[in-house]
Amino acid sequence: MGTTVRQTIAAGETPGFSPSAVLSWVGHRCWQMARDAVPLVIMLVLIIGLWQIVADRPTSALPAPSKIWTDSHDLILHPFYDHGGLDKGLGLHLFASLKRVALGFALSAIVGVALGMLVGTSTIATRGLDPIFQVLRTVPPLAWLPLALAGFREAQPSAIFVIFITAIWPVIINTAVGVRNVPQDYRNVARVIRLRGLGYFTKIVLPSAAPYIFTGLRIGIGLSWLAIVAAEMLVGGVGIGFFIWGAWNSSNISDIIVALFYIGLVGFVLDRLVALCGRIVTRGTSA
Amino acid sequence: MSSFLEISDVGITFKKGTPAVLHKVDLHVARGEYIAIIGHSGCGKSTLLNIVAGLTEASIGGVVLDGREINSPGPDRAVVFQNHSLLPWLTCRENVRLAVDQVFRNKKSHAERDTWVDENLDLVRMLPHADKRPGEISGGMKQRIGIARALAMQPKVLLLDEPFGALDALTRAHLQDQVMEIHHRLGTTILMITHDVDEAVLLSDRIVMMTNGPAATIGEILTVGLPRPRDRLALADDARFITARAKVMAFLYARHRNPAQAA
Repeated sequence: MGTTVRQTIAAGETPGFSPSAVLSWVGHRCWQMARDAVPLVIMLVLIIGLWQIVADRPTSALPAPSKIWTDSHDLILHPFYDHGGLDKGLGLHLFASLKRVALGFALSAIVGVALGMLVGTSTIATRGLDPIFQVLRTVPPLAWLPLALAGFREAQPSAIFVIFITAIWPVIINTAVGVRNVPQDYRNVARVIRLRGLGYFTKIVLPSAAPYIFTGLRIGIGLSWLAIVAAEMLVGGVGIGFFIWGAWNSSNISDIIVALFYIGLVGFVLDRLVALCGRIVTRGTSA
Repeated sequence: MSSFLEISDVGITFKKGTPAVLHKVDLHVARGEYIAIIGHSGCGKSTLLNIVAGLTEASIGGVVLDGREINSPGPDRAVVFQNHSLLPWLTCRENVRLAVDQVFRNKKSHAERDTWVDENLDLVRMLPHADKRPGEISGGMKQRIGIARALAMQPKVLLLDEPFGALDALTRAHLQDQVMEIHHRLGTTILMITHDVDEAVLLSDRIVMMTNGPAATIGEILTVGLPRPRDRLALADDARFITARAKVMAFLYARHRNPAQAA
């Protein structure tokens, strides 16, 4: 698909931008977007329609889409209202959660990449640390929460710690693999030009490991977003997790469904954002 | 004959108790000479090149280049790798630049290095594509950048490890002509691994024919007496070219058939 676009651009550029060529290019792009979007729209209509038919009866335990709209259109239309306390729009709850994730994830990225490099370069560090990592990474995120609460004695840093400890393992492990697996070809080049020490590390090892590092970061951000909702349900305060818990306690099932939809969208955007950073930093060599 | 590069009695055994891969390889190369090393797959010719490059250590024997013994890799023995080995995150220019910066750190100014990089890219006619990444250019172009990178180190001996093996016949012929021209112009000493008989005869002054392993060694050395500059079209019917070619073929296919094929 990429090649057709490039060919069309080139064709549009050749004899001094004739209007018809530009028009045909615009038409082509519109056609491509429609081709990609139409199946998705059809699927959404089908799913929502089926849901409406199944759930639209008085005995139904879960609300139909039409009921969700009447119950919760405030949430959908005004994501940033603020009535004080915990009565805020979904946008503000998501923003609070995102702040925690940003802090926890940034910490895990820094510490994770550093530890991963240590483990990847030193066999002693591998022997000493790798077994510990392998055991700790299997501990479920929420199991850390009571320990964090006991240590920090406050909700906010505990939630951030849970994000940190959740996201760090894939970052460490992928960085270590990337650093360890610098292709023999690149190492031979470095040896021939006598590139050693720090220069070897920054000019060969780091760029070569970058795609692995970003794979780790991408898994990490996904796990962070998974963990934040659960952690917030337990620690309370402003945040999308506690919003859901609050909605459940006041039986606003419609609100929960709207919140789930938002969580999914934000998680998707986060994943794509890290992938995009990866592509920019590795100059297109990372997938 | 004054020897510039001396390979003396080199042998290598990878694991104790297993037969040697190379055994008593002895070769003296003069300055500016073009040597082709030919042999069947698995005869250890790449290993021999790696020993000269310093990437592999010989078990016995040693290599002396310009009066100095080789014990580690270095830019005085630049290698053009079989699979080009360009760094994919750098542009072509940056790939050459990395080597130039490293080798001439204290010898050339920043501006001098700039010109030197471009000069070498121009030598392989890759200046117009210098800002592309290796992923965006063809296999032949990648190999030309590999050659430019190696030449930019101003090596005493240029080591070519089957540089054209992965290329199609037309691209290969084009690159062979370029290498011949560069050799003619710069007078670089070249050691080339190949398994292509025509290539060996066309390019080299002497062809070193390796016997099959284990314990592979030099079977015969053929001096190619063809005058330079050589023209592939004119040589196609040249009696000396045909004789040289026949001799190498006889060595490879009559006396030292590939054991894998013979079985």
